[in-house]
Amino acid sequence: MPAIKYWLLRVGIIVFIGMLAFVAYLDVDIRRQFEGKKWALPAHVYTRPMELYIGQEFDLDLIESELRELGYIQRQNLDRVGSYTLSQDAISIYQREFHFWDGLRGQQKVQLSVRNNRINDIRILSSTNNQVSIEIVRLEPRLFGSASPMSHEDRTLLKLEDVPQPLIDALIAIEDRQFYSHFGINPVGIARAMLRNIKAGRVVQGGSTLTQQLVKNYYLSSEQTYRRKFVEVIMAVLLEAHYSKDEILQAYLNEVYLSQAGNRAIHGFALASQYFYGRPLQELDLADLALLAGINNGPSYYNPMRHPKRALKRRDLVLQTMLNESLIDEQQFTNATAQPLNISPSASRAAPLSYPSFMGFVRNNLQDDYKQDDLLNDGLQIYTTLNPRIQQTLEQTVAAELQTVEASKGIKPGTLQVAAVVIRTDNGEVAAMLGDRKPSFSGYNRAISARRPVGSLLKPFVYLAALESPEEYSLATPIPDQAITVSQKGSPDWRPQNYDGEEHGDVMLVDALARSYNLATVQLGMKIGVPAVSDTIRRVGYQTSFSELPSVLLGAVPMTVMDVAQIYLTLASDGFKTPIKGVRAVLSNDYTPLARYSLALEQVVQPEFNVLINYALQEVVRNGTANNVLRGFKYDYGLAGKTGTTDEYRDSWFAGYSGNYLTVVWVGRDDNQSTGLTGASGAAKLWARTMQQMPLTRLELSYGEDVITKKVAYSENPEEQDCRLSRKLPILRASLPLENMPCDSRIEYDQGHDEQKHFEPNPKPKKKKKSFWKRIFG
Amino acid sequence: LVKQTLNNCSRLCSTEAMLKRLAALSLQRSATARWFRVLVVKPPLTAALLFLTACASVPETTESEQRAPDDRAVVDGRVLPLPNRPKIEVQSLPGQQSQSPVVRRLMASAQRSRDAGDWEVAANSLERALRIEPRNALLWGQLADVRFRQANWQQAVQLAAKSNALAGSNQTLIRQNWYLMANAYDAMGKPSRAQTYRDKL
Repeated sequence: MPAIKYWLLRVGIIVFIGMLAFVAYLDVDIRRQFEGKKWALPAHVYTRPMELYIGQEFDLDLIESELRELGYIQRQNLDRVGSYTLSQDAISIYQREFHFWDGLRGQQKVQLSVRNNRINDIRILSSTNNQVSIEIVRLEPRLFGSASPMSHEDRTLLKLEDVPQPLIDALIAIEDRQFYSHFGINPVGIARAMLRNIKAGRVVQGGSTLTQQLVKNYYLSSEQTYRRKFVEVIMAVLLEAHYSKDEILQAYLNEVYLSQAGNRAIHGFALASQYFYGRPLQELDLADLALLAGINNGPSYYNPMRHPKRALKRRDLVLQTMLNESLIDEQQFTNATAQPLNISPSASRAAPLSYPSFMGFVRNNLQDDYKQDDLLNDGLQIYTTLNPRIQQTLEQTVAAELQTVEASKGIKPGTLQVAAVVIRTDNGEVAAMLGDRKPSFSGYNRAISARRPVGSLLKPFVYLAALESPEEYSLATPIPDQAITVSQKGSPDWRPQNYDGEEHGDVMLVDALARSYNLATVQLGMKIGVPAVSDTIRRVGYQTSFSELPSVLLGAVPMTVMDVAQIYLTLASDGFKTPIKGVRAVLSNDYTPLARYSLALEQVVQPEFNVLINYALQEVVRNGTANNVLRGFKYDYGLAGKTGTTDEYRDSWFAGYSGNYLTVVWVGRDDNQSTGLTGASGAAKLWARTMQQMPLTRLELSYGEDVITKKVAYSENPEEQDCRLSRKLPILRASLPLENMPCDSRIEYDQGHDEQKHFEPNPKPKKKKKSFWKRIFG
Repeated sequence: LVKQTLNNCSRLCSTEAMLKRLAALSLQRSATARWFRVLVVKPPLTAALLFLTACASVPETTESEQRAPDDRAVVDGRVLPLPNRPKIEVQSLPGQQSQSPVVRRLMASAQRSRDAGDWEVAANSLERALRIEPRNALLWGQLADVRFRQANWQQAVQLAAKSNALAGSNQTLIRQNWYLMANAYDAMGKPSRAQTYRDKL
């Protein structure tokens, strides 16, 4: 008998030690979870803030779209944060507090007055009737995503003191009335639940406390087994032993799963408020808060968008419970239950606004400077360059225009793919990006990953390399557009052809580029040398190595849309290479500045050469291969650009810019089959429609001291050298002695002093006469 | 009213006629081509009045009779009008304060940060101003100066070069930038590069 006793004791001790070890293990586990998740905040990513300033053109639609997206509501009176009022000639906004990278801006009422369609006065309205005039004000940027690529979770950290009391009251009333008195579990509740479960023969009721629910959320498992429940109970008790009620409640409010938006899980009440109402939690009414507290119990069952009736019933139940508990009075109850579900129509729009292509680019930007873990866990505040208004334009235009192109060319709908980027020319900031024809697609990002041959897009750099020798080449230099055979060691001879299969004789350099003649380009390129051209391409910003074969001259270099944007950005910004960027600043979770991505430049093309290439690229649009993009523009923005088409119409490219924006578009197929589209009939159309809806400024060419405007005579028929036509071209002084200008004896020098620097249009109308190009093509 | 009429004017009158008349008028007044440029790029009130005068006295020519100027875009035989934004964002003459209110404001705030030695804050204000007026050569020059103070010689030189690329005929600014570039090259230990800029002064 003692042997059995001894045995039992031994087993008992072993089981006890095992239990202890298990509890200790659970203790470590749950504390790790709690401590980790307490601050496990993915980075917050913001768009650019909209700036409003005196003298700015007033575009009410633009401002209202931005305000709506930020969750501002138009009201009669400016009596609530997050609202705005409109009058005949003014808009007043009750702005929220926001932490910009350069400091905190508190709540404020601001009034913008408009005269002659421009903002002419900005005032801060304070309660004491004191008005302060200011020159510039910014709307807060919009939070649009988290830099958390693995978990697809979004969170906005909420401090307990920022949580409206009615929400806490409602939660405790409906979920866990004994929250402040129990020790993590509620034995009475569990007993009641177990009784019901035994009756039903399966688990139908949880009886969980908020603490238990928090534990359950940590492990992201909704399975309801007794084993699970057992572990949960132990962990809940352990949590209560280690942390205060307030800490647990705050964690709960931030952690709990509340909805699903596509592949994004919405965790925490702060984010849920943004998601459902497009407004911060602090601005919600009792009825709204009660709804959030209600759906907490069954996020998909009570989903207010899919099951509005069910959700409404649940909300009213929460309100009823609050009334019974005397947390609200009869009046509040009546008012709140009378309200409809105030789910703002922007809620469904708010979810997919995550700009996955741009996000991918931002992540690439940041990965150079931050560890992946820091991006995931440190709650960084990331202020980006994304302009949601332009992004919206790009997305909508591309979707519509791509369908039009497919329909008009008899292409099977949905087969074309697209990549595009819009960049500010002055500082290289990405305003918008698209890596797939479906903007919400978060997979393969063609804009930064798809490398395709660029065709004629490289021609400008051939001509630039030539123009940088002003003693040899000017825009007027005749270039032979004649058949050429290029012999290469180890490979068959290369005999490039023109698009139309013809030869065009001696053409002016500017026209050879404007009309994208392959033969003239190869003739010129072979003369100055492929290495010189390759150097130019590298110098303006292409960093990947490529084989320096003669076919480089016609664009046999695979590049991404971003690569193309980088080299064209140099041309668009006066010859200064500017790194393309997606981030302006990064701050820590407590708003300590960590990094500012400031403006950086490197002059790689002298302004006088750059201006000549810009003139030639304007000619591409005015009179050359991209002439069709002009249709639909109301004004002459001096647009410069270049089409690109590759063999068998596999890739359709367009890169072009105004004074303020560079846009690059690629259209093609993922399987690399022919699209039947040229650069002009595909990408250029998307480019034009997008640019037409953007706020553009004119590309003004500033000719310095070294450039003069010269009337150049040329021949109607290059074969006969009749020299009957003339046009004005910007010519470098260094090029004036050139012997090889066409019709040299007939050159007239413009000696007018004001015209030496200013390229003035020809004032005297000539006799009405069809131009050379119009005769051929008109 | 002036602005509105100006808008109407730019739509009615052909631009080159306006420019020409304006050139003639301004040449009469000051006889230098520099003035002409200043007036064209930055119409203050006097320029606006000149525009109005020009507008009133030049009969409108139908555009179809006219051959399109070589540097203007034509769609369906019609010359596209220039965007009718007032071009306030170009360089100012030495000694003249004609920045727009918002840029003046941001420059003042940058100045305060500079005085306090908060170089990054100053740079931030200037970059904000540059987003509004990217072709304001003075702003680029000031940013160059901030980078110089931060001993970021490389960027100081580049920003000064950008300022000069946009400075037009503002010789004071151009010389300031050359001076800064010379000093920056000295600091980088490139005396010969420095000398090339010093020689220009």
